[in-house]
Amino acid sequence: MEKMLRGLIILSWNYKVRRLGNCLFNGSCNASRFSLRELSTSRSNRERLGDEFATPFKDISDLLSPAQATEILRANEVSRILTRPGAVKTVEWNQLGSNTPIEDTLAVAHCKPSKGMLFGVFDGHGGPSCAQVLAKRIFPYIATALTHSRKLRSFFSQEHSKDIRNEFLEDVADTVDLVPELHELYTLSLLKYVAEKRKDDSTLLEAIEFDGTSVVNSTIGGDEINDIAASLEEAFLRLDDDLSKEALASRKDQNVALATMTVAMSGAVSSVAHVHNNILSVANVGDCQAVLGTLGEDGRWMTTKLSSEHTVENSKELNRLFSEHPPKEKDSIIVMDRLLGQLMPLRAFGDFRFKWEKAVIQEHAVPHFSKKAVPPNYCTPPYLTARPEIMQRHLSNNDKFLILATDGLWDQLTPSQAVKLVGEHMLGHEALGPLILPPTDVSLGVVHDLLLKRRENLSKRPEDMNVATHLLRHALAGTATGLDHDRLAQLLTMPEDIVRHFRDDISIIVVYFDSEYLLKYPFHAEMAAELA
Amino acid sequence: MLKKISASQFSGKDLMTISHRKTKRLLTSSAMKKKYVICGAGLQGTAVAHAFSLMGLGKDTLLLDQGRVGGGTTKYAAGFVGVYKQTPVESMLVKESLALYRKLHDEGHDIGWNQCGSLLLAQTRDRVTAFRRMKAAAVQRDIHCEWLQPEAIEKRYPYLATKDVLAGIFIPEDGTILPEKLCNVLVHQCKANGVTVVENCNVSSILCKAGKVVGAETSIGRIDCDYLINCAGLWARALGKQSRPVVRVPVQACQHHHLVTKQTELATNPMPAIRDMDASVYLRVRDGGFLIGGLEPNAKPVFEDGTPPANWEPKFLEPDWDYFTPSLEKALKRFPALRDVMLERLVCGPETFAPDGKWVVGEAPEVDNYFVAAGMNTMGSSSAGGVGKLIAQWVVEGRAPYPLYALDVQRFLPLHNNRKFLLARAKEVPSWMNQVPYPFNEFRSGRKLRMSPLYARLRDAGAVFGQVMGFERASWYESEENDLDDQDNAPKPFRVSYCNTFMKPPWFSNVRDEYWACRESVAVANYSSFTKFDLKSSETQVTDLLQYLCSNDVDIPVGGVIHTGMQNERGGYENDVSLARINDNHYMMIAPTVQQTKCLAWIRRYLPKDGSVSVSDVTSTYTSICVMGPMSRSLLMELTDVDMSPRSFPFFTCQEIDIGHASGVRAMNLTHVGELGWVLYIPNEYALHVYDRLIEHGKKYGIRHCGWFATRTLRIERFYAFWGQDLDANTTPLECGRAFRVKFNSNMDFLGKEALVRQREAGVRRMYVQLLLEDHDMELDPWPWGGEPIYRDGKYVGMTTTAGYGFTFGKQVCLGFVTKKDRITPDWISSGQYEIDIAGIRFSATVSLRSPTLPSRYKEPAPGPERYAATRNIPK
Repeated sequence: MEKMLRGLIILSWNYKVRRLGNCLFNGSCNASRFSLRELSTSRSNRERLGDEFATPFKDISDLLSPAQATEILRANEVSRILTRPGAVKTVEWNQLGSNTPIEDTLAVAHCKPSKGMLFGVFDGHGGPSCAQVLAKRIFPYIATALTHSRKLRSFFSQEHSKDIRNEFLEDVADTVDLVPELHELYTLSLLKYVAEKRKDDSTLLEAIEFDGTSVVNSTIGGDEINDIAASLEEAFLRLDDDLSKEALASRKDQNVALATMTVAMSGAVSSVAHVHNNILSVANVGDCQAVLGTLGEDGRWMTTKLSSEHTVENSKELNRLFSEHPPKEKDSIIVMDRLLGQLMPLRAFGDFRFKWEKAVIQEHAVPHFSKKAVPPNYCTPPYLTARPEIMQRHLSNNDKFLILATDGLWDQLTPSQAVKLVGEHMLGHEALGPLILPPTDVSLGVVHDLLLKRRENLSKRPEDMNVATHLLRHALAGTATGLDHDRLAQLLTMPEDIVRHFRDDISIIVVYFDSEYLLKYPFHAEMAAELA
Repeated sequence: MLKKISASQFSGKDLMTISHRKTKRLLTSSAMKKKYVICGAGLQGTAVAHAFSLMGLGKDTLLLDQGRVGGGTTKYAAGFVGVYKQTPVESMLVKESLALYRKLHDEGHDIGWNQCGSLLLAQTRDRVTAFRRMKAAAVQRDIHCEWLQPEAIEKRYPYLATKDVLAGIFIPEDGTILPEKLCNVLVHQCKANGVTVVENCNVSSILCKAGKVVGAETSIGRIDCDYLINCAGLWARALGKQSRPVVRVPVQACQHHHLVTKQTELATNPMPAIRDMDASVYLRVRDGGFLIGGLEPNAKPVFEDGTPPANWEPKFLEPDWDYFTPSLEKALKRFPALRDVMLERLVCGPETFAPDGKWVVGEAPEVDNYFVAAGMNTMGSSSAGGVGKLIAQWVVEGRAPYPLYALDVQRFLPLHNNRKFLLARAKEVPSWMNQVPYPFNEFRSGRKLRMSPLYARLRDAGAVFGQVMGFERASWYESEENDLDDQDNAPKPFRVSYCNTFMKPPWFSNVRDEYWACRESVAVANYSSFTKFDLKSSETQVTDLLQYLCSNDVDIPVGGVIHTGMQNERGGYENDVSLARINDNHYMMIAPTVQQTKCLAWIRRYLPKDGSVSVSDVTSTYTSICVMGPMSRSLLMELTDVDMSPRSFPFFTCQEIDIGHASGVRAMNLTHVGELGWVLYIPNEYALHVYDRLIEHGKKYGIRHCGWFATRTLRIERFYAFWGQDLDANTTPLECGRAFRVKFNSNMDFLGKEALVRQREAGVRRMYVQLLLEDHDMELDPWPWGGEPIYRDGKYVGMTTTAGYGFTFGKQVCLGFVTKKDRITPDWISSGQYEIDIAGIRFSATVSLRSPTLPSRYKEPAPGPERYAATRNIPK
């Protein structure tokens, strides 16, 4: 599956354009995609699927055997132990597609300039291309933004421009390969960013050096890097801006022109985490989520959400949107719980149909697609931004793990359920969600039998070694009394066109922290501030 | 924000509820003044107010609640009223409750009263023995207990699966109420009797002046009062912190689950409340459906990280089905037809627990006129009526109407109010309460809290520890022989004392060996847990104070030691202490361990207002080692230059001596068990040194460690009464053969003198006796442990208090009180035929009224200056 994904962009030029043309703008497929999203966020999936009292498909024969189901679940699972000393000990991830091809991507890498770790999950919509490009490109942008000007200057002097990405990063998970033409184009964009950045910073640097004051912007832990939160925001916005510029530039190669436009017309939401010394920073755009699991003194697991979802359910986000547009648009910006009646997330990469001026869309997008490319009531763009919301936290030795996942997981599990599952998995225990009884009459005998089944299942050891697979299995097959294999088999064997109504693409990264390292880690924010 | 109690909760017109606008007006004009202020209008608080109102004091009473009447635990309580509780005083209080509930019911008030009786089931042999002991002791409490064999249970309650049931007890008196309804009826009656009830009133601080409650600052203004009663339930601890000094109310709420079913045909037949003790499950009919509850181990504390917010409603507690699984499983096993009954819901409510699973009532030791009634440990419905009446009586009469040390808020130390300790203990208490009530049951949590400097040495010497007032005290020592010569000094694990049987205990042979060491060679026992006070003054004030507080003449020569009771106005023992006169105006007081808080509060109440007498608690300053046995004198003389011979260091004297290289050791020539020996009060930093010297030099005498089970056996055989076990605030010196310790012949006035003089003239109706069991087989018969009924000529005459096996007598020895309706004489005592009922078997016993002379390998001196007879009821 991983191999398959690698080839995707290369193999599916035509497919994608067709898909864009046929699907994204002609209404029917669009609606079904969005209706799935609507379902996923407005009601819990458990209700949607029914529980053991009302399984929707009772008579599917030829279901998968447990071993077959497990094979499918584990197809993309990876565990990596990191040998480099630092707050991150191991990282495990897994993906399960619902769309074909899967519209989710993920990436994990070591960031050389900051000596930190980068983790990202990307959930594409309107095709996988934007998410794939993000997975490849966001980390070098972040690395550039983080790198202190002095290092950038020395870097440039070495003239390693051809392999600039590898200069910045050491990949741990890299699931996307780009066609050579795109690779070239993107390298040029990055080099341009680096060059500008170097220039900006060196003037600044000279000014400061002339002043005789310290040049250190952020030296937490002694590595000279720029402020993490500011850098993450800068990188996100810069990349989104580059995606726009690349699509609008005139090109000879029609394939490349179509590709950049395809990327710009599709979109993606993303959650990126950066762990540097004991500082965890999460930049979030859209409705992916990052959740921290902390072990309390009493042995219970505590859940901290490190992202807020940028959807209509977030009133703060709605208020932001309304404040950016004239009051008369209040009724047209959000229609049917969607941005301009079409888009579910309120922040995203790409999706320039919601960002460009109307004239620009008409000039560049309409010829490729149709008049429907311009959303209704399109008056005061941009309506969409890739500006991330950033949350930071000083990790303590009680903080045990971080879960990054696309909304496909969060449709099925609450953050605290996921934390409990991962936490208990860490201790070798099984965990179950709360018992939900049907609203109808139920006899004590039935309750009793359910409880005994739960108890039996709670005493088992988890089946999956990989915790991302463990989460995946519970997200799909978890019932109040334990894992339900039939349900898992049904969800994995559904026909392609139905399955998306029942489960979204799911990508999960679980990052385990090294408690020893965090316990001994000497620098705390207050101390660093005092030293400065 | 301020709301009126919704009228719909009451029948009839709600005349007396002061609407808050009115209250505000009333209170802003001038500070409100009420004699009695009750904080918390749950079941306990309303019952206290109700009791005041029945005494005609309604107009002087104010009942406050931060939320609504009955909004806390009351709203979620299951409502069982069971008369048989662990201690007789609890049963007595429940009887009062029952009387009140029946009266209300008979008057036509709807409190949901249903006298369905209760059926207790036993699944284990030990539980059957516990039931037999219960049934035997029921004679004292006047409770009818019907004994049911499994066949009878099956016949009478065919719906129960009884295959695993070994026996049952049916108590017809028991019943159920609906706590919310009862609470509302009580409030309604309170109001009708003039009690002011204010809801939504927050108490921000409780005002004290000169150690006395004077009022409270509340959200509706200042309220002046003479007495304050803290009935705040799960908020009681937090409310206790609102005063200066802080009043410690060590309670912690835990989640308690019960399941309610929908109404069903099945529940229309009469059915008793079923308490499956070994399954820790109860089930009964309620509101046409069933109610099932259980007390599972590892309870979940509510609001672990702080105090419940004032406006918190327990409905926010999420029930945990997995936690309830075992209870449901066991309930359905017992009553299979319940399987088809429809579920209504699982209720999770907060129940407040005390660290020892006993109610917390009485006057606070920290502040006068501040009373507490909280920590009802799931028994709130049982306790309310009785506790309400008790508190009202106590407040009005100025003293407890009867002794209830087991429930007294003064039984705690500051450590018990430590939040972390409470949290750890609260997880254990709920399930602990349904354990088989073996003698000397011990908690597992909150241990190793108070330890003497010798702790590690004693642990490695094999000590198995029991906890009293948080102090780890060796109960007995395992395999003593090996350990003294043990070359490898590997630390041993901490071991918790146990008994786990009603028969011959597992530690029998260990205690026997320790006993004989005390009687025939030499032994050391750690007495460090005993309460120790220093009392001083510059002039004679301290002697004057003690002369008033003590019934014995304490004006003894410097260096003397004396035993004395501290009587209350009724002549009963508030305390029983030893006093050593260190200097003219300096005494050291040694009191039972459990008296540490209570005794200080008692003395504080009588201290001269000018501050001329200082009392300091030096319990933790000294390590006390008792060296006892016939060889103790020789051993000590090896270690000190002081002449320990009777001539220069006579019995009942105290000297400051050197031992080994240590100095400043207060040595008292007495042992509290009747053997020759000294108690050494050693400044803590010298304790290990002295201990090590004693063990080193004691080897050649065959020195042994001795735990408190052995010393207990010794004192029971010697007929020494012990406060808290034999003596209580109801017992006078005349009743326990200690008239010789009362200064009747002096002109001095002392507390309780009048009552004692009166009693001396009228004669006593109770007498302390020692009973030796004649036909008891130590190996086969259940042992006496205290709390067994005594029969004289076939008639019930009293209960045993403590019991133990007397190794010298070779017989079981029971101490207890024999009562008679009129004057009791030694002749009457000695003329009867006695029997003791142990778990349903009556054993014949011989009676004695005075401490015996025990045969010994060493010549036992005649009672006199060299030997002390503690109990001296001489037949006339």
